[in-house]
Parts: sequence; structure tokens; C-alpha cells
Amino acid sequence: MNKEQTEKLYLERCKLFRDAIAFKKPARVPYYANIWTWRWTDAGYTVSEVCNDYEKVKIAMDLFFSKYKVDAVVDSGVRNPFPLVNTLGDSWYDNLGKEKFNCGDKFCFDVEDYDAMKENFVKALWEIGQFKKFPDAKNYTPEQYAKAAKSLQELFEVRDWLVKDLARGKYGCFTGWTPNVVGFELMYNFFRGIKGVSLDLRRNPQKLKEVCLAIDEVVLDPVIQQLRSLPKGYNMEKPYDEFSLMLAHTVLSEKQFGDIYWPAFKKYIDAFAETGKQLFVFSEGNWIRFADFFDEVPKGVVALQVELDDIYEVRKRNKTITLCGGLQNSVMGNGTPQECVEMAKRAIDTLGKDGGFILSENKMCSYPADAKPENVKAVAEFASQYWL
Amino acid sequence: MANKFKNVASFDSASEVMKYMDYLPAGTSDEEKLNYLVKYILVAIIEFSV
Repeated sequence: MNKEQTEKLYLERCKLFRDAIAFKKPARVPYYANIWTWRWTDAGYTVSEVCNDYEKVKIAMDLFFSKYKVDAVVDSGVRNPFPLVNTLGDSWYDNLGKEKFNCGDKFCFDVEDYDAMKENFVKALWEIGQFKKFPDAKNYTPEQYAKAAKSLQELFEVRDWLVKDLARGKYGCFTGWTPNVVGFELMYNFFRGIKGVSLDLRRNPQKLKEVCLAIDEVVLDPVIQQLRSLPKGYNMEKPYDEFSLMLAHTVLSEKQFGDIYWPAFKKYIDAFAETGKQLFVFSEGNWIRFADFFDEVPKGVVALQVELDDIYEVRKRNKTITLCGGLQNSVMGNGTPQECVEMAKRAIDTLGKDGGFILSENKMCSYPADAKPENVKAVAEFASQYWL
Repeated sequence: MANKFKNVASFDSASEVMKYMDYLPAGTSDEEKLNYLVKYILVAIIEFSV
């Protein structure tokens, strides 16, 4: 393809997503590959090799796009930027090997830090959070620290090359990963950890809630302001306008979700509804027990990754959110190409004929066993030709 | 005046760090530099690309 053809394909693919999320009949259902470190081993590398080498990241991504005719990929390709992390100290991830990629529960704030987080979150992040994780970095001189921080610019350059030059410029594909999340997600995943927030929910629920609000002010509110400052409607050069995560709901009761999670998330979603934009929510675990909350979300605003729930049951329960999934990893990893194509066809025929559906693996493909290469190839080929 | 920040333990040292961030485009404001540093810390803690 020449440059013009590649750009035309890219824009056509973006429109497939926009139509699907808006519940308009798309020309065909887009295939959004939920394929992550699987790419690295598929390219013949070990996980530890790629984690520390941006050039290998680029090669693996290029090879993936050249082999599999997907419409988009969830992450930009880097996933874990160890060259940046290592400028301050050691990674939380361990046991890196040929295929493994492990990380236990992690935290960098204690409950005693809550007052400081609430008072000035950025100051607490600087003085407490980063040095609890990277104690040696506290002794860096300002000049050393500034030099270390240059690694973010290097990461941006790699990401831009992957997103713009490679995915869009060479293959007409979208790839991206800049999640904006509610404060509770950050507390759960990184700042207090799963054990920490689970204890805090019982022992210090009010303080936890106040800290989440303080984080929202710094992390999420600027994104909402930015959304409102843009022209109303979609940017057709993207498949959706922003990307978010919904992982931490898995430890919450419905009552806790309504108290500590939903108000911030609803405020975020409302900004999309009010500005005529669309949000993709990468969700893991079971979602359906929270479906009542999402009844407030207008049709055509949110797309949701469905991991553990039966996507056909979710469709019966909710009629306004675009669902993303339909490809079971157990079949992608163990079935034949024919079985995988039949699975994709059933999903598209049942869920996607009138929009409201995006084809994807239900779980992140991280390891070789998560999908056979011939199955990814067969599904991608099928989806690219299955016109509605 | 001698540099009063020998290390970066204090948040106040961010202003001193900014003096060495000459790799950012000329004209980058202090607010933008601070946002950059906050993003750097977040990525380092989170260990996910953005």
C-alpha cells in the first residue's frame, strides 16, 4: 500500500469503531486485538529481552502487524517501560524469563500517609510514594534526577513511532494506551495495593474516599476539562476519544462501588455524553453485578471490554453500551482455526449486526498458550472480509 | 547562590530539577515541567507505558 491507501484504511478502521460504539451498523465489525506480551514470544524473543530493549519492542510490533490483519491493538507496544523504571531503581516485576511476567500485590503508600496525600497529593507522590518504591533515588542530585527524567521523553518518542509511524503510517492500524482512571483504581492497583485498599475499605473508608477525591482532582479532572475544551463530537482520526480502566471494582460490593467508585466514574462518563464523545473502558473480572449503575449511561457513549461475564448475557441485560469481546482465549489457545472463525462469526452475527459490538479476545493475550498464531491469523482474515 | 538542594528528597527541589531539563522544548513553562515530572513519577510507579 502507498501512503494514501494506508491512511485511507486507517480512517476506515476508525469509522468502524465509531459506528460500532454509536450503535450504527458498521461496514463490518472491527477486530480489536487484546494481544499484549504474546507478541514478544510470537516474534521469537523472551519477555525479559523485550522488556529492557525498545528496539526489540519495535521489531516485535512490526512483525505482529505484518502477520496479522487486525484493525487495532489495545496497547502501544511497550507495555512495561523498564528502561524508564530502572532510572530510579528496581522494577516491581520479577521472575522474568522466557514467557513469565509476574508481579505481586504492590503499594507505595501506607495508611499513615493518607493525611499527606489528601493535603497535597503531588507533594506526597514526590516525597513519599516514589521514594518508598525507589529509596535510593532520594539521594539523586537535582541534575541527576533531571537526567533520569529524560527517559520519559525517550518513552514518548518510542510510543509516537509505534503509534504514528508504524501502526498508522505503515499498516493503517490504531494502537494506543493512555488510560485515565478514577482515584480508586490508582489506589487499588499501585498506591495501596489490593490488600491495602481491602483493609482500608473496612477500617478507614472515609479517609480512603477523601484521598481518592484528592487524586481525582490531580489526575482525572484535568482530562475532563480538556474534553470540555475540545470541539463537540468525535475526532474521526481516532477509534474513540479516551481510554479508561475498570479493574478495581472486583473487590467492591455494589454498595461500596456506589459510594467510592461510581460518582467519579460517572462524572467522567458524563463529560463524554455531554460533549458527544466516546470512551473505551478496558474492564476485567465480572462486570454484570454493576450493570444497574450503567443504566444511567446514554446509548453510544461507552464501549466496554467484557472479560469473565458471558457476553451474550451482558447484551441481554444492557442495551446501551457497546460490548467488546466474543473471542474466548480458551478456544483461541486450544481450538482449530475453523472453530475460532465459527466463534467469531457467531459473535458478530448475534451481537454486531446493528452496531454495539467490537470483536476481541476476552482476556489479555500475554502468554503463548493464550492463542495459537494460526487462530489469530484466521480470525483476523475472517473479520477483515466479513462485510455486513 | 549555592544550590541549596543537595538531593531531591524534598518536593521543593522540583524547581531546581527543572533548571536541568534542557531537553524539553524552549519555552516550556514551569507548570508544564512539573506536569512532566509528575507523569514521570507516575509511569515509574505504575510501570505501564502511557
